[in-house]
Amino acid sequence: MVSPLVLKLEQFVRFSADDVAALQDLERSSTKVCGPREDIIKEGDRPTVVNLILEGWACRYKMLEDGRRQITALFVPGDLCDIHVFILREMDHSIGALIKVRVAQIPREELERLTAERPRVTQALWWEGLVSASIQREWILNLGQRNAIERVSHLFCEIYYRLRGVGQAQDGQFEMPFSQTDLAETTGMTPVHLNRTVQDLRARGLIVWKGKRFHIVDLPGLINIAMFNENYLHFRHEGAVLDARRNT
Amino acid sequence: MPRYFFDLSNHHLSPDTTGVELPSADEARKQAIVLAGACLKDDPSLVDGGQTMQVRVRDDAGTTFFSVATRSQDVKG
Repeated sequence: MVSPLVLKLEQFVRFSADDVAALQDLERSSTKVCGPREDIIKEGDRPTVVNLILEGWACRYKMLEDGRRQITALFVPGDLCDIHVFILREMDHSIGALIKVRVAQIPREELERLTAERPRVTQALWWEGLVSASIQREWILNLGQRNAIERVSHLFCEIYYRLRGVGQAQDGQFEMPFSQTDLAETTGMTPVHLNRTVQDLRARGLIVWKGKRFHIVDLPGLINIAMFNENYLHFRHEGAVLDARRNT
Repeated sequence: MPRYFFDLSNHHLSPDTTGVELPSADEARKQAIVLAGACLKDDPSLVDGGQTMQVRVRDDAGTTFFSVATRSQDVKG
């Protein structure tokens, strides 16, 4: 099976077989399994490794003293939870599992060696960093300007495009293990408002969500409501100039 | 936790088919008010032209026990 990290990065840069092998080696770093709602690393902890999601979903979050929580980023398979995180003396946010996740814990030295030896991988990781920042900007726009139905539709579109990019969604269908509480904490809505908004999308015939199976029945319709423009995900292979296989 | 249902209505009724689990009826009352506010913020036209927008809360047994209604009205001099 092609690793989700390779699938993800190959949306930006095409690798040589050696590059792919080196990236797949990263997944052989020691792995850690966390259950739902368990923290992979907590605010205040000292980061020593870079977490790479192999299976499951995780999130970056911040929490107020009284327990109110905002999910500020989603991590799906193939996502690196901050490539430069070990520069921090202590974590300024937490990373937690939303469902059972398996993460590879990549030691700093391993990444430093890989990037020193493989410029194409380094460039791909720059892309990855840019796209993460771009997603954050889109999420600010989402929270600040889009209304409830636009915001929730946008998140569903983004999840679909990101999962499809790593081979975990097709024809509008994917596994959505997210609880509505998690979704509410991601969209800054109350669980009641979120629930009513999801029902509205169902009633309009845009989505079907049964258990963990999620189906975007009318993708153009959902994109239209969300004002979703996939450009911020940069999935159109814009790093083609760096292709290993370009001249072969 | 008990489940509460939040039915919305203005010119037509949009019943809550799934509901949400909440710790108490008091919390459900509060959430109904917050929901009404959120709906109006997103779409002020819900109460255009003297329409009333209502959020009604039902318990698991189907009894409606709370309602929030908002109505707009032009006031003459």
